[in-house]
Amino acid sequence: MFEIIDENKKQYIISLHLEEISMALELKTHIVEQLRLFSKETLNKSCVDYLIKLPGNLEKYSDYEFCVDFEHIKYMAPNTKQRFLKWLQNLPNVKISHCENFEHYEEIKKMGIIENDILDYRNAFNDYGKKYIIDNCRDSQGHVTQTGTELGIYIDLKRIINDSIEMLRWCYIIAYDLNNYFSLVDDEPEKNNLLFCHTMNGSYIAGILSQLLGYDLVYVDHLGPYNKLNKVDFYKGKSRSEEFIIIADMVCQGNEFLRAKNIVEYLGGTVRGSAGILKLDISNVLDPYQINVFSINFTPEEAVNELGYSIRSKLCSGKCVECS
Amino acid sequence: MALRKIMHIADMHISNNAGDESLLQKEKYVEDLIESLKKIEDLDTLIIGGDIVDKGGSENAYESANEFIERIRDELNIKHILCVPGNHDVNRNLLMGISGDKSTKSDELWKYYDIKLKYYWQFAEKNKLNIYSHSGIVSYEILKNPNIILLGIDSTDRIGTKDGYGFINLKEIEEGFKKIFGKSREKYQDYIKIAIMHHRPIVYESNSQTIIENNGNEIGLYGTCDSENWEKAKKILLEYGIHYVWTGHVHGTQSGQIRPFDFPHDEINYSTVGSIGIDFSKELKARLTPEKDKDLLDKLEGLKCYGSLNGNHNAYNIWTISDGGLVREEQYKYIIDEGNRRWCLWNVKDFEEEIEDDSSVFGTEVMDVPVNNKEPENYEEKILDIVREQGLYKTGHYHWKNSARLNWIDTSYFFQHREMMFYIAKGFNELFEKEEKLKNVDCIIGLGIKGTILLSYIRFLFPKKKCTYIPENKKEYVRYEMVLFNENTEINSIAVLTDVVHSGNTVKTLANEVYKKTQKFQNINVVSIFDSTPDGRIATVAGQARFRLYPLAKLKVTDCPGGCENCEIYIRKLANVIEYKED
Repeated sequence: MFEIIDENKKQYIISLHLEEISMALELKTHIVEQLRLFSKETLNKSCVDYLIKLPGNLEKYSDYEFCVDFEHIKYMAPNTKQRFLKWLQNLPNVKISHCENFEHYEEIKKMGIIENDILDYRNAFNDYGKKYIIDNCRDSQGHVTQTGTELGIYIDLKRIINDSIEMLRWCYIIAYDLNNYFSLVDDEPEKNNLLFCHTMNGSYIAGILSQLLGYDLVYVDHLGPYNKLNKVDFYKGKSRSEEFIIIADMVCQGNEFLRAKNIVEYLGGTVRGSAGILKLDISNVLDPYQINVFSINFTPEEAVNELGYSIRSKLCSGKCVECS
Repeated sequence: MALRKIMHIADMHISNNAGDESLLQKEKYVEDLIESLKKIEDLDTLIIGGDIVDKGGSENAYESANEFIERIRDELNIKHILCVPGNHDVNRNLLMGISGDKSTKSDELWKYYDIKLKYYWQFAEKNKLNIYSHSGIVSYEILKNPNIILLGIDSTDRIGTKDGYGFINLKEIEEGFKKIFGKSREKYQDYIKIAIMHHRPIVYESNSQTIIENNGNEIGLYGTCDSENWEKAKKILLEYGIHYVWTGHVHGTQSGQIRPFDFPHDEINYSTVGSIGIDFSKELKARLTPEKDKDLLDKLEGLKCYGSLNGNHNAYNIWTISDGGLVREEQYKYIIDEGNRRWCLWNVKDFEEEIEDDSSVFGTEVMDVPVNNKEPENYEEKILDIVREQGLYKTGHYHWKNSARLNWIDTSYFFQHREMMFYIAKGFNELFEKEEKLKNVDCIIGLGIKGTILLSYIRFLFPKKKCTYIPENKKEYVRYEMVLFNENTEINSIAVLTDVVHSGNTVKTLANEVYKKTQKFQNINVVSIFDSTPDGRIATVAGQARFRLYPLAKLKVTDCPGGCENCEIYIRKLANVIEYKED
């Protein structure tokens, strides 16, 4: 369901961990058992049943390079092992990545499958994500922002959000990067960091991340243009001396981030940084912060040249080079 | 392909105290059991998951257990038996006997494995059962063709004179595994590895609210192991390739307990079998009187499975295992069939799909009898408990620009605690599965930030439904916010998620906006945590869509009698007044 197929590079990349998490969500057990979904390490029968039907038409992909990414998968349901290994062996030009911790690694190695840790899902997502935004999320009708600036094109991330498969894929990537960060820096990815959200899109992303990573969330409903707090439901027990990650759909100039940061600090918390779907790297607002995790980053050059993104203010009055 | 059948029983509870006898001490019951087992071909292995005797037992009780083992071995041609001790096998009298000794610390009596389980070890020796150690791995059995290794683990490690959680001696099992499997785990690599222990590591659903006590002290949830200890033990089991854990202790077969099929997050596949010996009729008779407990007795009449009201029952499991792995679990129960009791194949779980189904191998009829003695979850009660405990019902005058209320429910606590959100998501999921109107909605909409967070928790439960979210109370929606709704979209019925429904004004605004876009009157189903409407409905005017409310809890909140502008208390700020400038 979440495979990335790159027709130019002729690559077909599968993340076993993401497929497994998606199955778990559909089976609904996480809501009963209150799971931290990202810590799932076992590939289960329902997921293997799905995988063996992939890809539907092998002939179509006979000249493709297949990569099965095992990252975060350590075990598998024992009674599906034979079928899974058979499926893996039958994939044409198959490569595996991050497989060392998988319980049947030695057997897979004996099958002569090539290992390639660079050809993994996270890396493949960079190209996929950028292409997806360029192809699907640009709206040339423009948009006036809350801060009065005018955007040449509007990036409509609700196109991702309204699609359940895409939304889970993008949130998984954020969770993946945050988990990596906390594994390296805090050596404790399961520590209860707090997610802070103050927009509709941010709340939706934070809600999904909360299920994936097991963190609680705190919200402000809503942050107005002049730091006006309307309906602050900051629960007392969670507002003091806590560390927060501000969750946003998109960070561009960083104004909203700064406003959210002010609120968090005013209420006694500390901001560790920001996480979200998309960052246009045209501001250095996030630079001093430890956490700076986005599914996709566009450099300023990419934002202008590939996305066609531009910001104008009323002060411009048509006198700048671009306008004239 | 070689197949092997293994029988798993637990909780025999044999007792020589008058009135406490086990069903295994009743001739008719044992005869029925053996007759039913005779129909199962190729059965040659028996696993006993602890509690051979009741309440610590005595040597005499074990004598009755010996008789049962002898009979079942002879009549069924059982060749392999593996047994583990349970908490009832710990003899507290023997431990109390040494507690007066100055060299023994009263809180460390559990360490005296030889003494506390003295009669159990005698029982094992008498029946020539393998004993590997007196703690950690107490026994193991190697079966060939198909190759299986059964590992008996003692989960009564910390049980001394007091009962308590199941606990495993981690050092002992690790050392035991090293010896059995070799330091580099080189031995038995291709074997199917199954651990057997008495305590079910996770809470048994029917008993999840039962707190066990000892001398008035609460000591834990019934049917669980110490969670920290179990997490560590689980890691060791997985390192040695053990993915199956079979248990007893809770007296009920956990329907659908076979992981990872139903609980795909866990790396271990759990199976728990009901009690083979407990006579539930005594327990019920002691608890019920015809005058006072008519409802319960009526419910009991409705039970088709011989057991107790909370879902416990007499049972045994038969496992079929092939070279490729576990093939099938058959759960047998002692049932009441038109007044007669008999053993019946109750439920079957298939594991390995590649194996061709040959019903002649797998035997008898399958009764289609639902096991559903569980009370439905009372969401309202629990949610109102949280409101009470956390002080979420705020008193005072709450005034907005266009509306005013006396008192207010602060729902933020729910949204900021993940476990509460999961609970609410579970409640919403049940509503969507149970209510026909909700089942058929075309689109689910989160209303406002809170509705959006609620949507994020249930969105992936319904991946095929259209979902979006919309801000509250906007005078005009920008087109990005209403992107799902246009004249071409086939949306006839929507569900709106929100935290509290009061006047319904925000929902009405949303309904109007959707109408403007789609030019269709929608059926609006409002799913909320609280219904605080004065009369349980949202008033509609002619031509408007119909609203249906589906709250998890009802908690009435009154409108301010003075309204927005004429309330003296608000105007003069006489009492607790909370003012919101915007609606």
